[in-house]
Amino acid sequence: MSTIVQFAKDVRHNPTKLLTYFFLVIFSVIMILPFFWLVTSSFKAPDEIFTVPIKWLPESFGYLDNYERAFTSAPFGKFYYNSLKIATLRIIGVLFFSSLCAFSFAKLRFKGKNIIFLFILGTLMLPAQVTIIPTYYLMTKLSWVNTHLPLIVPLFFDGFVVFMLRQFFLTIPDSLLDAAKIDGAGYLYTFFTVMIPLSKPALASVSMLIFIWSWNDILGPLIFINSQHLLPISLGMNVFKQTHNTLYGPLFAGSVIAQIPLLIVFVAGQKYFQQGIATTGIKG
Amino acid sequence: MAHSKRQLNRYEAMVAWVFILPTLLGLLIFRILPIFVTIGLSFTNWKMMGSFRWIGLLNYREMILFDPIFTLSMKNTVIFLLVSIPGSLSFALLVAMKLNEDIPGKTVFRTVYFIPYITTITAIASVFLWIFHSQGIVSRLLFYASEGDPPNLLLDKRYVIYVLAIIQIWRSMGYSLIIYLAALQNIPPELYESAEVDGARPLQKFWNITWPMLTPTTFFLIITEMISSFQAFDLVYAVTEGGPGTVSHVLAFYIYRVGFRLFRFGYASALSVVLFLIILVITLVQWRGQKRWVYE
Repeated sequence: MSTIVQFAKDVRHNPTKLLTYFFLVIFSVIMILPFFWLVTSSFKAPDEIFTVPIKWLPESFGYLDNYERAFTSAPFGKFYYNSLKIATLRIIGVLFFSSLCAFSFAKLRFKGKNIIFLFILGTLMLPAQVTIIPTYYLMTKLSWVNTHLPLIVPLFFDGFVVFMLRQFFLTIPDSLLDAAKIDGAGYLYTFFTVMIPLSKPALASVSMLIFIWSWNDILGPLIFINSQHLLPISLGMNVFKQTHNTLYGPLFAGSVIAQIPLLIVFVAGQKYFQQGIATTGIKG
Repeated sequence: MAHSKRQLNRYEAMVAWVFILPTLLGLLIFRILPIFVTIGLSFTNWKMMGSFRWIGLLNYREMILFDPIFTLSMKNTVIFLLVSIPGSLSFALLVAMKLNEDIPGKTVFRTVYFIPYITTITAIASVFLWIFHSQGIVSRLLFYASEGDPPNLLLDKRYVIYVLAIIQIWRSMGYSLIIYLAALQNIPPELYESAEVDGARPLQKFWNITWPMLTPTTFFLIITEMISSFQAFDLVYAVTEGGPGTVSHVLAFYIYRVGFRLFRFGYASALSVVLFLIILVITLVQWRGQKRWVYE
């Protein structure tokens, strides 16, 4: 409330402030407009969707056919399950391997540390497209094509996550670890009882980022998955997009449903999430 | 005592290696070795099935001399970068500066600008298809005064790559915004206070304090956005599938098409090597630039 009062005072001193504020509002309306249209259209009957001039609101929000059809004419529940499964397993694996690795880089001394760390950072610049053909070949040899494994296992090893966690681990004072060490605790014990509990914010923000990347991945499933029932939702919803007859209503409904977990994750962890992104940016 | 200390150090190093090893091996198998395999394959005519042979530089020759789609993909990629990066960064900086002030509804604004970044592109693609359709809102606004039917901007070869770049601005701006906001909060307020004592005007304060203090951030953002734009596969796949025809192909999409629709793995590998080299150069520029050009 006090911000509003303060803002009103500022505006009286300097009326241009109100103008720039107005532009800020206009821009944010433009940013949100595609979502608005997506959500409202998911409640529209087929003949309401593409009318000229634009119909911003549906006749009623009680029209739920699109949602019903999204689940009955396609295995939408299955897509959902696949996406959740892939994201969860990927997060567990990458957190396990990367946090151990980052702990070494942040808190342990050994020869060649800097060179190996640079090497791991170097893998960050490799675009997925550059490695995709040999990886595909490897996956055919392992008979992992058309399973979820290629979307999970190779992604357990992620230089970006190691980097982010190391940056955070560095901020944890050595004295806390030494205290545990004096008690005769092993490294693994220190790691699990001191480091991990203190690093919850960092682990949370990394998990959220990975959840979003995994949920939104298209290239991976496009290349490795052939069977419809194994598709994650990012690609699965394309079943409504047919060359000659796209079922827009169910497509919109499906799209809305597919965004709900992302929104939940984002809203629940907004603070961690933005902090996480900001730290990577500042340190470069 | 000295002896046991050395043993302790050796034990510490051993533990460190055990902790690092899984990630190191994983990265070797899934990231590093494939690069070398890709480079090797780029000198072959491998087509997934059957045998293949060494053809030297023929793939590269074909790419540079006889492949108009490659040329077009490169040109599109460059246009895409030149429109989307300045657009996204300047827009993000403007909004970030505004949000850095004490204004009502800050959190709401931040959320609204950030949401496009976390959206699934396939979910929102159909909305864009409609927005830029000949009867859609943008075409009707832009071509309000012109005669005849407005064009479908995503099916028109004059406009499609620019429209994709604009969607990219919409999508990536929230990320730059968050990073700019964090950087702005790190500028010591004393700088502005002493400038105000000297009677500096707002624009002077921007060019003499804000902009130079933000150069490292801007530099970082240009590099990361360049790298991610070179890989802008999903946007092109979801919105236009590189079409109409091949008009909106970008390099990353073309690699996918050659590799996994035409199954010319050898040629796709050669294209990947080009992408790899471009990103390598950008990264090297970043490493050098961070030391040299950037105000710390």
